[in-house]
Amino acid sequence: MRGNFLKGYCGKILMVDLSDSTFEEIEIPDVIYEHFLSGVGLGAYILYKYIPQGADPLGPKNILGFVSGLLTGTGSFMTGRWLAVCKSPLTGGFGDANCGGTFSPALKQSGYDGIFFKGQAPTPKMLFIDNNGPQLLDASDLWGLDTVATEAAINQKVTTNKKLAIATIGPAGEHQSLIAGISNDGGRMAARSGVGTVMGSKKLKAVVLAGSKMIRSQDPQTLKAISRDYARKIKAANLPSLASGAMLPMMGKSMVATDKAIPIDGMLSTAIIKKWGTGFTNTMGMTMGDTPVKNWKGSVVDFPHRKYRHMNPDQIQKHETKKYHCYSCVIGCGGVCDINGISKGRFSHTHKPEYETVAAFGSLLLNKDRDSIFIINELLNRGGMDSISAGNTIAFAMECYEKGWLSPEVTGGLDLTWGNTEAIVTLVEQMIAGVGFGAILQHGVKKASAILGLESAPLAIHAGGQEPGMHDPRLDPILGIHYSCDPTPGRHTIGAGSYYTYMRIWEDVTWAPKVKLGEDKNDEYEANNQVGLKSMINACIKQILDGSGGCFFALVSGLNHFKLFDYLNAATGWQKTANEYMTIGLRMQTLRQAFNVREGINPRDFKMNPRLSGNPPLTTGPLKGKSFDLDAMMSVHYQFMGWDKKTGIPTKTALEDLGFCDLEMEGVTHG
Amino acid sequence: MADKKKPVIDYELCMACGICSGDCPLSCIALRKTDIDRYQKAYPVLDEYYRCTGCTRCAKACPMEAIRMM
Ligand code: SF4
Ligand code: SF4
Ligand code: SF4
Repeated sequence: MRGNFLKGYCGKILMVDLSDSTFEEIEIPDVIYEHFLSGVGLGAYILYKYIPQGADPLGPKNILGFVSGLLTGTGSFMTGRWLAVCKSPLTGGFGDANCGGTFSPALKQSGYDGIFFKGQAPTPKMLFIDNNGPQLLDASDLWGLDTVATEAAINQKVTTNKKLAIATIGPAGEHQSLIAGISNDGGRMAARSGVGTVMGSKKLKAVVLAGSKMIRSQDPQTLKAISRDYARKIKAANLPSLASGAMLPMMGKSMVATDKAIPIDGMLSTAIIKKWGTGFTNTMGMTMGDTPVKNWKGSVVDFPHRKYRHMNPDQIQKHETKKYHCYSCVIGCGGVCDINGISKGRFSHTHKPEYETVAAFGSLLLNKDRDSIFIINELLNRGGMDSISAGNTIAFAMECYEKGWLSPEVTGGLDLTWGNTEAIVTLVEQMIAGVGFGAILQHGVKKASAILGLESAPLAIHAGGQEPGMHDPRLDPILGIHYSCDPTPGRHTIGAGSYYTYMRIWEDVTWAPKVKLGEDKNDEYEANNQVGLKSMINACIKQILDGSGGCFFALVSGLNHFKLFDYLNAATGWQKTANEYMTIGLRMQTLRQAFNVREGINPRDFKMNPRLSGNPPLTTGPLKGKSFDLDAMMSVHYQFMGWDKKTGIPTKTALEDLGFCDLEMEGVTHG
Repeated sequence: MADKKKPVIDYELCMACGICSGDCPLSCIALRKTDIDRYQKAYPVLDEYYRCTGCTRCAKACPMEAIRMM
């Protein structure tokens, strides 16, 4: 029997059939964890196995999963993240969205590494699990409520010994906006891939967890010792108390002033994140060229200091009343902000706007009104809509408007001139409600462009249907590889040249190239082997992280500090080397790619909008004239992944080497 | 309940990670003490003194060994 489970994972999942309200507990053999870890790897395994080929993403055959991480709840730090996984209605391929809060440990405390939903409920439902097991409850009275109100209503309705962990959709997911996310902890969003849309299509309003089962690991003492060691370093990572947000633009400038690599210790970035959260780059990204401007066609020249200075994180932090952090986090990038005054009493508080939201509703739209960003942030969190996708889509509409392709008649009288704050806020409200001109934009930029006509396609900034995060590949071309080659395209958290430098993986993985002081960064604009290898490593380590429940900011604090591989060995007792874990990461990523291929996706079609590779190049700002050959870069990435260099399809040899045949997954597609 | 000892948190050692709060089966510990460090991080407080059964789960879970049952 498997009662005596001591490997960090629970060894089973729950499959809920919403069509007939039945539950099935499925035991997962150890060999699956050893091949794919838990988290995103377990999710990919279940999706591959149980979603029939060609399933409609918004139909009953799609499966939506909530997965925890292998390390969540084991005494490890920075491992409290969960993911929603499904076939994505935005890309037609693998979909996932990463989120923090308290939901990840709650999954395992309820006894499952993942909870998966198939079918569609005839009327709105919520899943409730406590130590007595799962129940599907009526949620008709919650349908129509925003995410924050939904949590409040559930807390009123359900009384338990343990505080509830609640994941829920808002109106955007209910009415099938394609850019809807899933929220927990009052507005922390699993935003990407349209996971909230799939949840809405299943009429699943919320997942409510109150279990308190123990999570057992092989070697708890070692896990804690690794944690204490990491904590000591995090505690010591502090900026001088004089450091102020006003210095950040200068830092940005100095970082692009040289073409030479400076492999600084990741703990510096940790000190910065401890102070400001992701907001540190609100203004630093402007002078570096990292932050996109005016639908990715402008630069800091179009949104100069007198405008972007309003996004100084010190100014944002003035509203912060306390820090917010995910379970097991010792960095704490989040915050809770008082916006009662700003919103004239409409909202009492909001989660501190992330950099992504500040950029997507600031420079991308030439909007300098900081207060509006707090309000938009809360509107989107409550509506359950992805801020990155929403901002990119409005930027697209503004560029169409500038070109005269959209008249006020089409926009319902909205004046979509760049920087028109009032119109932006109205449009966000319309998109969430699915009304007015917002009804056209609510599905993201690809669909909006298709509705408005083909000539607008060059202005629609996306990769395979997913709008990109607020980081510019013209500054960091390896980022562009990940935007274009990942099975979940358009994602800024998969990898970049800069992340590679920070994580110092060469100290663990023997074949990983070391970044040397003074290396020429211009080499990263070429499709060379170094670029192929680095991007392959990025993709693999990110899978390991997402299989563990790990936080991206722990990864970039440096693997020399955040001992991910040691943690995994202590939790499971496996004693694998870092190199062996990298093979697991490669297998996980290859399975995600194989899922896409099976679903009929041509990986080359995920190539991001040419604007993002500098075709044509920018004419002003720090990235003026920068461009690279994206097709060639994609080829070299595919090659190092063991996928066909031309097509991006995993080769037969790669699949055999990764052991898919032994796993009786012979259906896994190859070139 | 024979063992009525309750968790006492040593804020010198505590990292405000929230593990104790998330692992307590009765959610007795809230993260709300913000006057410990310069970042206003939310540190744990035993809010539900009388509901706490003294089960020691929080103390065993704390990686920093910052909780003593007293
Ligand atoms: S650093 Fe931020 S995202 Fe990461 S675990 Fe901590 S609070 Fe969550
Ligand atoms: S588990 Fe320990 S370190 Fe973490 S918040 Fe509780 S007392 Fe502090
Ligand atoms: S001793 Fe048990 S009941 Fe009391 S706070 Fe700790 S975990 Fe909760």
